[in-house]
Amino acid sequence: MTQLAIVTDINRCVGCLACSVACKVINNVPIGSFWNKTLRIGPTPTEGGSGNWPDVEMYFLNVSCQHCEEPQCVEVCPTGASQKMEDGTVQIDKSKCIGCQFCVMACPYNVRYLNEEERVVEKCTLCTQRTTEGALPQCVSQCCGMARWYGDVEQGLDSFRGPNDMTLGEFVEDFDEADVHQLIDVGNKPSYRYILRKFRWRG
Amino acid sequence: MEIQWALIIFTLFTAFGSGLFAIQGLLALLGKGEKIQLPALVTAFAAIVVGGLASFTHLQHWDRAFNGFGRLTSGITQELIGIVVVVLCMVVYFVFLRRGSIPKGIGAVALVLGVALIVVMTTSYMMPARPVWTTPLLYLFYLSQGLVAGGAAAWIIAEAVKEGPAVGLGAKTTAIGGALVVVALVAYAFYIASVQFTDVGNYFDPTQPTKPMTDISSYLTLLVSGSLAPQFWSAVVVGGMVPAAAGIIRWKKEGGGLAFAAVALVAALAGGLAFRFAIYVLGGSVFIFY
Repeated sequence: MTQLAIVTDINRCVGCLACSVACKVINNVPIGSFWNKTLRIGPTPTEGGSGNWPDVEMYFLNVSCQHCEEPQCVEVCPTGASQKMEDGTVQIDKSKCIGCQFCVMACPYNVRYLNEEERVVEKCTLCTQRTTEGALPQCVSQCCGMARWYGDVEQGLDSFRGPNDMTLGEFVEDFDEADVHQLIDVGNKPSYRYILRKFRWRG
Repeated sequence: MEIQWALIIFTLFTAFGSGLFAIQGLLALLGKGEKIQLPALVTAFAAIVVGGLASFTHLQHWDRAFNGFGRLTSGITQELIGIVVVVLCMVVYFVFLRRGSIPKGIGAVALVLGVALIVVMTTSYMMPARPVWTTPLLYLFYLSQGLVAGGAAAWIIAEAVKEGPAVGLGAKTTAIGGALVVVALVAYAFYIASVQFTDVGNYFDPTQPTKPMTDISSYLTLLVSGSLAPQFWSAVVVGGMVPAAAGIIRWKKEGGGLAFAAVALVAALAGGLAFRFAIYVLGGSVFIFY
């Protein structure tokens, strides 16, 4: 089994939005639509703190298709346009999409949208056009904070690759299991992981 | 989420047509209301066709529907199968009707299939990603709404053709359906308070810098006491109480007739429309910040 995904070391993310911009450029994402977004979570008063700076927490959370292990979007697709591929990614065969948008409704993260021009649903492809040639997804290769890492969850997070031919295990600060988080799971089993140390994970 | 009017019309008319078909099946099973059978069948068929066509207009590329349509886990596929089965049953029903009368067995099948289609239709909206929709109360609402609208339609036809026993059953089902709509919606108001969304607290989306934050704690109050309250409470009063009152008045033989039946049907459909609108607006994904 292979399950390709992205791991984001949130403590390294500076919220520069390079991932979001790079994705729009390389994938020709329509104006007003996004394949990934970087949300600012917080500032939130630290528990037990004074309630004022510096006793606050804030981090940046990149949200995109989570290429779920059990994607609800695939289950509800009547034509098989949404598919779970052998590499674990969820892809859309646009030639089969009838634009019913049930997959949009079934996605817990709201990351799918209707391309008004093509009248089909789109979302992050994990840059399959690049990864099949050995390159990194554009959001990973353009991450100036070295926060984003690409790889196979089944091979362990330490094996994930980033820019400069580094692996996550070689580069990032130590973390333990309690520091590894996922977005809310309503039975879809999201594949992406987020590493957040010291701060409280808020989702 | 964005309002999908085509799907709102689809669920409204499918529930209406299925409810009417189930009620005429019940009448056949009870050996009553022969005179209303043909007009009721035509009305139920027309309602399901209107619903089906509305659903069809929702598709962006209907021409590709033949390019692999049929994944059985899809609610749309299940709905299509359900509609085809019900329409085939209607054809059989029509054949028996032309021959003279409906066998009780066929009436029972119509009753079961009418209910089943509403259940199948509701199931396609059971999505864990949309917690406002994913509740058994949605089944109760759609079934009740099918019962009240179908009952009122049967009642109208029975009044028009002066079919006494069918008038009684139509008024009773309208009254019971209306009461169940009220029960379902009041229960929904309590259910909404228990719905869980991801709550990240303070946040900011740089792609929508002027959009205010979604406050999860107040989001769920929109239905009962916020901007969606007019739609919600009009669904309770107009869609439930009015048809129930009209049906009870006729049931107790205290008055009412064709006009009451017509008011009951229009109110049932208007209330159904209002509630569907409200839960579409409120039907955000469990992670609502993207």
